[in-house]
Amino acid sequence: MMIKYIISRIMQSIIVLIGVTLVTFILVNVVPGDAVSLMLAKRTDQATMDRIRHELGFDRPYTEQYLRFLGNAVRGDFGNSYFEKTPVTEMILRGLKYTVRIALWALLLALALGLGAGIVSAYFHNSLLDRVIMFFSTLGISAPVFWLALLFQIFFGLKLKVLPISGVDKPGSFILPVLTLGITNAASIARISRTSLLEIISQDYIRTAKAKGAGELRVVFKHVLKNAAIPIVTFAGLVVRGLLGGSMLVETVFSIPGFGSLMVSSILTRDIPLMQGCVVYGATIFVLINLLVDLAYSALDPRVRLVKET
Amino acid sequence: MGSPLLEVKNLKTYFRTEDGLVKAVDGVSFSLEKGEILGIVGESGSGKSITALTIMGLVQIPPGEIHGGEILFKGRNILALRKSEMRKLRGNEIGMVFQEPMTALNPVYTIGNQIAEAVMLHSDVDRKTAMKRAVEMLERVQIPMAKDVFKRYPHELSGGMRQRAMIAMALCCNPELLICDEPTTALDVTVQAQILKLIDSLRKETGMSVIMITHDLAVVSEIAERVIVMYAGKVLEEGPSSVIFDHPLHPYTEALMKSKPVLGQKKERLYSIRGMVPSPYNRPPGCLFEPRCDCSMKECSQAEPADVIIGNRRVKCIKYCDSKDGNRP
Repeated sequence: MMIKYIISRIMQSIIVLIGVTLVTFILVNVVPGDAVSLMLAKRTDQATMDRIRHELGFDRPYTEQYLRFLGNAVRGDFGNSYFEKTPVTEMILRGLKYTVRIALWALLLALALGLGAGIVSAYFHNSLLDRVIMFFSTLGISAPVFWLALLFQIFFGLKLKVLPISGVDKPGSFILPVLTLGITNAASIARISRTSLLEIISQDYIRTAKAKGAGELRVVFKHVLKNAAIPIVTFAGLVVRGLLGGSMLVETVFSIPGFGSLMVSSILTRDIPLMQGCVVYGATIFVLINLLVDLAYSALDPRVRLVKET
Repeated sequence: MGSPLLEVKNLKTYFRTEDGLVKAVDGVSFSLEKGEILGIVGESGSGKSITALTIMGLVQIPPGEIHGGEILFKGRNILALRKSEMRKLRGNEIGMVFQEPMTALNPVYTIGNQIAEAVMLHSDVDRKTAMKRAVEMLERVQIPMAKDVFKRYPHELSGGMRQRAMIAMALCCNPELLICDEPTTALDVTVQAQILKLIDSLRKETGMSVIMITHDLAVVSEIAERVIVMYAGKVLEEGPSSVIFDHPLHPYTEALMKSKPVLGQKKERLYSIRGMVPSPYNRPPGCLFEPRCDCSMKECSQAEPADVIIGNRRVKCIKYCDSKDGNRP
């Protein structure tokens, strides 16, 4: 039953990815501005441009171009970047190395801080402590992430001079980006876990558990947490997607050559292979995370299994 | 006759809210013999469920507070018990079945897991024995294919099945008292009858006592031996179910009976009690039913009437007070 569900979800994901490549391909070809003339900055004659177009296969029919693109994409080959002349996959992997590293630490920080604050807030709800935590979490949600990043740079980098404010080479250069992304996301997670816990605590089945004679800890850890985890997992999935999709703003502020910066620069320079590669990689990451979240769901909630099977 | 299994004396459960003090249960007294079924009837908000939750020790404090009174279970005042002692009692010696079988079971655990949990909480058995016991209990509440149902999740069962599972859970430690809070309200009529029958036959089998809380007079008259009628946190009338509905003493009980639809009898309009239950924040000084009562007198609104004992019945109405009773100001 479970295996059937997993297989069907994987099939769905593949269809989504094919759709993504198709849309990317169409968009790139529809957008005005010819890649070859852009690449050569119109410095050569028409004959040379035609020759290059022919070499790159731009004079072939669209269907053929698409199928070739798709075939290569499946093998992880998106061609060479127009400007750096290095394979796109290599560039993306280099970018992802930084992005994933920051994302994982930021996620850990966000979960630890957010869940902790959320549980404390729910347990002591309506107390002064709860209000203070919720005040800061609202602040964290409302503050634009680049602004927070700038504040951290000013405070830790310029005032205290304890941390580097940009780049990836110096020791500790990851701390500020991780802190920025971790804190913003922790604020949302705190809010969501508080709401979710409070909602579950007032459910009838929690009263049933108490009526059975279960102690407070048992009620919280067995009966509340598993139910409350469902919305929290959904949101954590969103956070991971956001973080891995490249936090362009944060990467820009801290000058990190991550996936987000790469994608932005590929668009600005109209580096088509790089752009296509970024979009497909990004989409793959999204689809994979979605798949993981869905599988986590069905592990947590038996009702999801039923709905999806029918 | 031995001492009763449960004796509730002048119980007061209040709630402090932002709008003021709500006297949800205000001086309720009753007793319950071993093996007896006591019905508690009343409209929503009459305090019948809060009475049950207070006995179970499940009232949230705060905002709730036990303002006074005693609950003697086997002679012990359970209001004075420590939290851990009360926990040993809950689910073990006192079981409870709730109104909504749809929401009263945890959706993410199997039926078997939830029943076995109750077994393991109160007896020193391993998981296997507890699971065996859970299957036995499912069979006892007449669930077909108990071994299969054991592995199912609540959403896979019908309402009636879930309520049976709830009963199995409440009874798995052989409690001496079972409190049923509107156990059949959410079920359709044929299933209702089955569940009531089941509860009654289980009572006969085990000799436990049952408190049956309901707003459905038909349910009470079918199953209960004795009935108390609650209104706005107080007991207005108590008596054997065989007579209380045929010959009600209190005008409220009478009105309740009149507003009950009778099958096959075509009335133009169903009788309804005029007015509304008094606001919990603003209770009348005298008899609580006085503003809605058809036979109210001048004295009714002045002071609360005392309980009057008439044979094996009890009623809180000025009609039955002697003038020398000293009840009036």
